[in-house]
Amino acid sequence: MADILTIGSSKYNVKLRRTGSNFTIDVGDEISEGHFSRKSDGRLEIILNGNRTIAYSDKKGNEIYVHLNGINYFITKKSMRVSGQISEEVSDDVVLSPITGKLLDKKVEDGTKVSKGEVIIILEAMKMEHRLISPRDGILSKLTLVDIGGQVKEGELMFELEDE
Amino acid sequence: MFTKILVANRGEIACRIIKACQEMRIKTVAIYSNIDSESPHVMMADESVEIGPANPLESYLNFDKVINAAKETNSEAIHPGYGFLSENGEFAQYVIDSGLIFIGPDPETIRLMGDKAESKKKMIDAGVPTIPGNHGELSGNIDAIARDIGYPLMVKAAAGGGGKGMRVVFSPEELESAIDAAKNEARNSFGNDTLILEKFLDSPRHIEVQILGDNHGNIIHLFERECSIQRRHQKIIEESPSPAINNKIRKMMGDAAIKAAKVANYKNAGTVEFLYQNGNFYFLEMNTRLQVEHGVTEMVCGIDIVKWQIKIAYGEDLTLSQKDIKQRGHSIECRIYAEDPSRNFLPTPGIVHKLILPEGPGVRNDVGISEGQEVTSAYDPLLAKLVVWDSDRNSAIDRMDNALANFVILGLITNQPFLRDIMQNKYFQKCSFSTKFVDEHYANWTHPVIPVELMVAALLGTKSSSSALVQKSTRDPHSPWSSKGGWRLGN
Repeated sequence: MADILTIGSSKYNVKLRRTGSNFTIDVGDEISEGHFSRKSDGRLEIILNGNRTIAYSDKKGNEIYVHLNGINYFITKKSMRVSGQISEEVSDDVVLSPITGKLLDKKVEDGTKVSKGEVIIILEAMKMEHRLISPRDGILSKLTLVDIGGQVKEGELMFELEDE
Repeated sequence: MFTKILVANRGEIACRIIKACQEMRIKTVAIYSNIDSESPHVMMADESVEIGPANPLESYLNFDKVINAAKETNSEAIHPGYGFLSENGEFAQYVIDSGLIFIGPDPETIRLMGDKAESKKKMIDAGVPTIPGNHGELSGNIDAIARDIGYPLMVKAAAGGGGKGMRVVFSPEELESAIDAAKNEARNSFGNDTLILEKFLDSPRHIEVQILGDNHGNIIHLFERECSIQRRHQKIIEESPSPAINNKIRKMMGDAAIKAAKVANYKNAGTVEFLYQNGNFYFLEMNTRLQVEHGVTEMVCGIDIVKWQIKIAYGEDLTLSQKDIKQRGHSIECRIYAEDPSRNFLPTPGIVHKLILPEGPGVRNDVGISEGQEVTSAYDPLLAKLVVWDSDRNSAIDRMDNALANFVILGLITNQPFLRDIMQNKYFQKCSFSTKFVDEHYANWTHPVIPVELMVAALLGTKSSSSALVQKSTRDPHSPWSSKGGWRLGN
C-alpha cells in the first residue's frame, strides 16, 4: 500500500510502515527510519537520523495541513494498491480555475481559434485580477457557462482546447 | 476624552484600534458584514452592529450603514483604519455633517491628497521634489502624452493606493491594455477610474515618512520607513530605520515631509511616500490615514500612533516636539498573506484550523484571524503582521526569521516560507535592494527541498480536525468528559 502525496506541483510516491512509535518511510526508493510521538497539544515530534523536528498537522478528508519550520504546507493524499502508476489528470488541454473568486470577463467564445498566451478569462479574487491564458494554440471549447460577474470555484473547469 | 468610538473596519487593523481604545478606557463598537460575524474584531469590541452582506459596497463601504451604526450606538467618533472609507473625503465630510468626529485629517486634505494629480501640483508649488509626469486629468492624445514623458512609464489610478489600479508600461503597444486593466481595477477598488501617467524610475527605493499633526498647526515627523520589498507594488516587508539613507538625507526627507504636510494643512497621522534613487528623492503620494506598517515606527520611536490619532481628533495638543523623537534600534515587519508563493502567489482562502503565534522579547503580532474562522476571497488576503524589534538590523533579521518559523497556521497556505527566504537572502541582509528586489531574485519561487519529515508528519499527524478539538477540550481536568472511569455528582 502506497500513498501519493501532492505538494504544490510535485507528486511523491510514499510508503510508510509503523510499529509502535517507530516508523520506516520509503520516498521514491529512499528509505529512512525514525521514531515519533504525538503531544497532547497537537504537536508531532519526529526524530529522523538523530535530528528532532516539531510539526503540527491537521486533516480534512484527503487534505492534510502541515506546519513545519515556518512553512504551512497543503498536501493532498491519494492511496493506491500498486505503486508506480501515477496518472496525470491535468493536461494542457484543460484549464481549471486556480482560485475561488469572481468572473470578470470572458474574452473569446467557443469555437474560436486561440493562440498560446492569449487571455481567455479574467478572474478577480481579493481585489486582484488574475488572467487565465491559453496554454497552447487550439480551438476553444467548453468555455465556462458562469456569467460575467458570477462566482467560480477553485478547480472548476474554465475552458478546454481542441486541436485545429 | 471620547467615551465611545466606532471602528469602521475589519481584520487586524480593527483589532489594533480596538486594543488602543481599550487601553484608553474608551468603549468600542465593531461593524461587520454577515460573513464576518465570528471575526476577532467583533468579539473584541464592546458592541457590534451587522451592516450587511459580504460585498463591501453594501456593508463596509456604505456611508449610511456605517453612520447609522454609529448613531444607534451613541458613538462620538469613527476611526476608519486603512483601506475601505479611510481615504474618502466625502465620507469624512458626511461623518462631520452627521455630528460625529472623523479620526483623521480634514475632508479637504483627504480630497487634495487623494487626487494624485492635484496633490502633485501642490507639492511642486511648495518646492517638494516630484517625479516627471502629466499634470491634471489624462485626456486628449494619450499616446503623445506618453511619448513626451518617455517609456518606461507608470499608469496609475488618481484615487489609488496599495498597488491597485497600477501598471508599468514598457512600450507604446502595451499602453492601451494597461490603461484598460488599471481602469477596471481602479473602478472596482475605489469607484473612480481617473488615471495619471508618470515616468517610471527603474530601480528606486520606496521610503516614506510618518507624520503627526494636531488641530493647532503643530506638525512633527516620526522618521522614515523603508518599504522597498514589494510584490506587484504591494508592500510585503517594511523596516525602520531605512538602511539605505544617511542622516543628511534622513533630515532632508523629514523636512520635505513636514513641508508637504504643512501645505496640505495636515491634521492627525499621515504618511508622505517618496521614491529614492541615487541620492535623490521624489514625492510619490501622501496617504491620509494610518498605514498598515505603522507598527515599525511605533517600535523604534516608542510612540503609539493610534492613541495619538484619537487624542488629536479629540482636540488635544501634540505635546511631543521634534527633538523628543529618536529612532532607537531596528524594527522589521512581515505581512503574512493567505497566498501561495509556490503558485505565483494565488490567494488561498480556507479555514484556520490552528493558530499559534510566536512570542518572546521584541516580538509583536497584529493579528486579525482566530481558530475556526473562515478566510474568504471577499476581502484582502492579509492575515497578520509580524513585527520584531532588536538593537540592530542583523539581530532584527534573525529574530524575524525565528519568529516566522514559529508562526503556526494550519488550514491555509501562507507566504511565510517566502518571507523566510528573504530574511536569509544575502542581498536583503546587505541592504542591497530596490523595489525590483522580488522580481530580480524571486521570479519563479518554489519550495525549497521537501524534507522527509514533512511526509512523516502528513501520514502520522492527527486523525482529523474534529477529533483534535475534542481531544483538546478533554485535557481540562474539571471537564466531565475527561474521566474515563465515569464521574459522580457531588463527589
